[in-house]
Amino acid sequence: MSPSANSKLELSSIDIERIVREVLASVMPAIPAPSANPSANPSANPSANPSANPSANPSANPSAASSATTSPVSIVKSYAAETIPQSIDAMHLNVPVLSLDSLRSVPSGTKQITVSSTALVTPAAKDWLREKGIGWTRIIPTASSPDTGRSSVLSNPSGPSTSVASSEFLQKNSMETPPKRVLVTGSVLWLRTLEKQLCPKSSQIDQVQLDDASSLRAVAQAIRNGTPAAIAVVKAPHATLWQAARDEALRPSIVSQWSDLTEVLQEHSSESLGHPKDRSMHIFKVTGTVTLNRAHPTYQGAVLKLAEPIGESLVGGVANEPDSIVVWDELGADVGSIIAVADGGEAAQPFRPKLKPVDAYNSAILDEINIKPHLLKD
Amino acid sequence: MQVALVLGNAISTVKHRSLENVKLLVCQPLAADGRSRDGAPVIVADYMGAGAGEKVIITSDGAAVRELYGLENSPLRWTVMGLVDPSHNPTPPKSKKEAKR
Repeated sequence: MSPSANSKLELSSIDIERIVREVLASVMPAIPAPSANPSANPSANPSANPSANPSANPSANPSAASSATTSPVSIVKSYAAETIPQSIDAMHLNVPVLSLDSLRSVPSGTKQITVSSTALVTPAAKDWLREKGIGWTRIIPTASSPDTGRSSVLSNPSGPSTSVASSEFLQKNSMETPPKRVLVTGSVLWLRTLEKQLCPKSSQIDQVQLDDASSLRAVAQAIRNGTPAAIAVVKAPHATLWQAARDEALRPSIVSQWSDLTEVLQEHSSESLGHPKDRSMHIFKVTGTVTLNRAHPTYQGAVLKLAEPIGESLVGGVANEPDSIVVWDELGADVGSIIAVADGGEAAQPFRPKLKPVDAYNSAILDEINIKPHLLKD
Repeated sequence: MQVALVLGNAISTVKHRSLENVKLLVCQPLAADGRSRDGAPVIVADYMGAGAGEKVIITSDGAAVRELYGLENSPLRWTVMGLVDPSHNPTPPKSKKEAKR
């Protein structure tokens, strides 16, 4: 490289540096000057011996004397430090998909992350947040404050706490328009008759949905809008429960009897999925087996079977959508066996005083079912 | 408790020990009109001696049944609590409009 080209290159870089300094100085006139210039001579301390390396000391260069105490790199760093603090408690990520790539911009020390209600959170991002101990919540803009952008926190399944501003606004919003205590929806037509039995002031039949999936969507929407609990009367409760458990905003449970509903709401204080048709000691047919890869410690040695109800078909009725359930089997039922399944609280009775989270238990293998045909005609 | 029609019985060889020597009935729960079906048939334990074609009152209170019959750790839930007299013919409840007419 020729000397002229080198000097030309050096002048151009100095000009660029000066222009950047001027622009940044005009934008941020009161930026504190750093005590040292690490980019000038990282290997030596300029304050210790300024004259030891004159070429490395910016004060020796008259063209850069106006901003000798700050370099563009240090300015940019201090600017970034002001806009994105290195240690903040809450941070909002306005991204459609919260992935590991989007989490790279999260500074260290962040304890809470909020995303929009429609954001998709990848499993890897959830694992990363859980590993780092960072809580995350979804927020949606409410109708009462579309301009301010303030929003109410909907759910906080894993995060330690919500931000104070959001909580205050949630309380304020709830005082203005209190949400319904319980939302009741479902996919059965006789649901309208329940409206009079339930307290009309605190509950309301939202709409009789076409299918279970629509009911689940209505429940999820209601929970996200601030309703503390919702009841869905569905045709296939276990399948709906399975789908609802995949939504972080929902903590579903199945209630077999209306009498258990109050107890469940008091104990869990969560939204519930209930179906009034008690299926305890109903007739099921074993359709397969279930093998667990990872299970609760009390499930060690469990023999689980997959079964579907056949009671309707026995009396000539039209069977609804098959809703297979997993049954704890201690009797050795084979595929194709007709069994009587105890559902609900009685399913865990055989294991007492031990506590097992069992919801369906094979009570008996039915060898023969005798039904009088003339009784079915009535 | 609910009124149900006994459709038949079920025979089981392998069953929970609390169900041994217990008659198992296949009962169809009935609606308030006493005729139309209400859900799928259920397996009901019978200590009363009910037979096919009879109307019975069944209960789903498993805790009460365990206490009543001295059963321990039983998954039993539906049990026959009484037999409806055959002379009793419940009439369906009338609506308010029909009552006014």
